[in-house]
Amino acid sequence: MTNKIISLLALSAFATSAFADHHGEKAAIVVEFPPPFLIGTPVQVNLPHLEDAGAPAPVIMAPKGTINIAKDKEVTSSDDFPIIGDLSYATDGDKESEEGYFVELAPGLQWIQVDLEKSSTVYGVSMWHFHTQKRAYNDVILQISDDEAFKTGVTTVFNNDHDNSSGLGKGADKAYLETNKGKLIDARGIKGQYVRLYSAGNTSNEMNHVVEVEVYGTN
Amino acid sequence: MFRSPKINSYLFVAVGVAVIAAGMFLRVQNADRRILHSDEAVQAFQLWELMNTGHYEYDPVDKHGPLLYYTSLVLNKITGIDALELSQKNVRLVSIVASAGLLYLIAFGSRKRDPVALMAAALFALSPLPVIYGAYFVQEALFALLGFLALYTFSDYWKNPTCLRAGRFGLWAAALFATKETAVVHIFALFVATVVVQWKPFDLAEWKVRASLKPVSVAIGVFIAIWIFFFTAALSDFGQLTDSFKAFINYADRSQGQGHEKSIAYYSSLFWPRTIEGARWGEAPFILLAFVGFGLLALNRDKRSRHYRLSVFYGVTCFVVYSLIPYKTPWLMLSSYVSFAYAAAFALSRFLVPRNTIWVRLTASCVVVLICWHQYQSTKLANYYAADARNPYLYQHTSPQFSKLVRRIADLEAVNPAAKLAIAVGGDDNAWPLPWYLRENPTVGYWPDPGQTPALDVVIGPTGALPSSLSETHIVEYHGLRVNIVLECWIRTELWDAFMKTRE
Repeated sequence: MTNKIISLLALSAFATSAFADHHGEKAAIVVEFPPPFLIGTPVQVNLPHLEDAGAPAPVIMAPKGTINIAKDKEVTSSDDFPIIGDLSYATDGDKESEEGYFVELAPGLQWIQVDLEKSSTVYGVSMWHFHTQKRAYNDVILQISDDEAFKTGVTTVFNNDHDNSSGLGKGADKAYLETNKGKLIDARGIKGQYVRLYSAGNTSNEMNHVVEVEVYGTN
Repeated sequence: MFRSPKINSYLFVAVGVAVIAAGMFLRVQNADRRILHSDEAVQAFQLWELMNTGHYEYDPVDKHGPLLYYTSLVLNKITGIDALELSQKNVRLVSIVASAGLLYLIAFGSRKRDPVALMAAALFALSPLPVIYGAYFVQEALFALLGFLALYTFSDYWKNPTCLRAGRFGLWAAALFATKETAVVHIFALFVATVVVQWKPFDLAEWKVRASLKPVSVAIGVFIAIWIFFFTAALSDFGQLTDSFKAFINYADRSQGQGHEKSIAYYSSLFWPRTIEGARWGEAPFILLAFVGFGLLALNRDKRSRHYRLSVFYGVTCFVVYSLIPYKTPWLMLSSYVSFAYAAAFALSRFLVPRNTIWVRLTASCVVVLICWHQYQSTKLANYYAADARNPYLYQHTSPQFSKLVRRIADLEAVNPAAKLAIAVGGDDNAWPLPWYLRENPTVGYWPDPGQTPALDVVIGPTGALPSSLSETHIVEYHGLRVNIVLECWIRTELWDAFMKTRE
């Protein structure tokens, strides 16, 4: 397992330097992946607009020095008292998916919100919900704002709510299967202090889970 | 010698009533927590038909005895609910009322002011499995109540074999059979329990007296009269009588599994600690205490503990028989759980007896409170994961995601309420519990062969089995039915567009 992580890190570092060479001041955001770990019987996943399982992650170019600015930052949620895990797990840097690494939020539409402490330029957001079982989360919506209450100046950077069941607007993005690679989203250099991640249950049960959220940006 | 600690009469009644009230509160709260299981929905549909037509047709292949439906019918009449008003909550009412009866029987059935009864009632009132299946529209809660009534009347008859007592046993035994065919197991278990608790279980002279012609004839007479009454739909359809016998052949076959086979350890594992995706389950302290209590009762020959030995041996016999039968579902454990509660309470009571020091008794009292609290916390967890596949007390329960399909149909109907939404459901299992939720819709049709399902406004069926031509005129959504079972829901494109306009 350690060898796999080291190999992935080495590969990621190589890719970073190669992209930096070709793009001057910019470099591709490199995400470190936890090792894959699937347990249990996979549950059949059928969702409208499901992304191909082998779809490559986007290559997101960001200025050199862009780092994960969400690490160890404060996390709040629509569910103040999660029954499993702790909200701090979402920014603690551990991306494995077994017990002790994820926070479980109540059923229905729920969110977690990361406070970046000051308005920052966000180039990419990488997120892991729960990846020890093949499943997809419903109504995944990612928003960035300078307003803590997300009432004004809200930019939606990802939305796969095809029927607007969340009431936050119909989204055109595709549903996707959770894997150890999580989901990297291009945030297009949007500025904001708060990053909010919604979901509304998943294809296995009605709960919401978050393993980790990484926000790549500059302060 | 078993010497129970004494308790003041008023305090005993007050605590007993409080325990029953707490148990009822949890069950009523539970009745609305989870969407109907497909078995519940099938039975709710039969109840709805009975309330609409006044007629119940017994089917030996796919239905249980009629008593649950008739009892539910009477209960709904008393509470003023007609067929149109039937809801998820009030179809489960009959099981809640039966649970109240069972709790009363546990707390006050021993006719002694004994803390064992109160502790057993508290454990049964607060524990997850009895709370879930005490508010579940299957036969089990009513069946457990009738089983214990039959057990106690049979034991009374064995003590003093009069014709009146024989008649009472005939009544409850017939009611047990009119509820569910597994009555065979329970009649065997109550016979075993009653014989085992006797001072001389194999005294042939005693057996002769109990088997004398007159009281046995009375028991059989009452049994047959009640059997005929229920299985002929109150003497209106004698054809159903033969079906009531055919059912035993069918259920003997079903006991071999029919897709529901599980290991011999399945029931024990329900209560043993485990973690499933972060959720921790288990009732180890309770089960270990029950095991100790069973051991103590097995060694105890005191007359004063007879009621507890009888209750525990009955449930344990059921537990052994059900463990040996390949077909297993968790609700079959409800009667045995009463016995586990009695056994655990008996074990705890050994530390509360007056001969122990005050410190021992105080510690034991704290343990009682802690175990009750632990059982209540387990129930809270089971309520939180009310229909989650991780909940070990559930079996093939309908996915909570299914309610989204029910809501979707209601939302689509609301787009144009004047035009009745035409819905086609394909597949031989009819996507139960869907027919229950669509029961009042006159424009719903069911096609056993999903490939033949017509392209109506909404078409629902198993994934990959509906006509491929639907993709030209409809958009598709997927909805979970149960673990690993997903339904396709095709919605006519114009209807979907009109619906999405309401969402803008």
